[in-house]
Amino acid sequence: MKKSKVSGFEYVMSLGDKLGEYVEKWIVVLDNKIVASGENLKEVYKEAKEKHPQETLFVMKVPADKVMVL
Amino acid sequence: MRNGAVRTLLLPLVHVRIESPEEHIETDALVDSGATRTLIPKEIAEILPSLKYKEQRAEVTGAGGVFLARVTRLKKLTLKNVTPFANFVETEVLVPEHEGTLPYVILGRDYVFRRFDITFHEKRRKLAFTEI
Repeated sequence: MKKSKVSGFEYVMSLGDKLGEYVEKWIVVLDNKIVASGENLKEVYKEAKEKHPQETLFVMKVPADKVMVL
Repeated sequence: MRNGAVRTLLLPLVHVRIESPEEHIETDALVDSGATRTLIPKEIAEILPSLKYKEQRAEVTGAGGVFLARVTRLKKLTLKNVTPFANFVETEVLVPEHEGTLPYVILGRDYVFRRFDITFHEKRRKLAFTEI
């Protein structure tokens, strides 16, 4: 069955514990997929934008435990 | 901690679109009734190079301490969780001078809270926006 597209925000929020490998990293999301990730947003955004120049990208820093306790 | 150490997030995060004069990006933002101003992480501001900054700096006091921030104006800030989308044009925001100061956009009381009554339904894990 074809997976329906949700917004980048909804997609990331649905991932929960699956985001573990991205903790404290910036992620760039497009069409239910993390298309780039790394510690430097400028670099990962540039990498994703070069591949998808016409798309609106969703970016987010995956928080670590220490950040979540606000 | 890494690799599977993410705990369930129960923060009032919303989906926003940020526009500078020439670029736009979407990201997450924390609805923060304790913040008087709206703030954008420096890392995000840097991928919007057409933003122009005022010469003045603002001193920001938060739970994590005091930091200096630059002042800029977004072309538009859109809340995408709200139907119809809520747009705020020519929005003045603060950008910390240093990276790593903020993990996400902070929606303070200066714009969003003036247009919406915001209710935190803690038990239902829901955030409701009611236009004033």
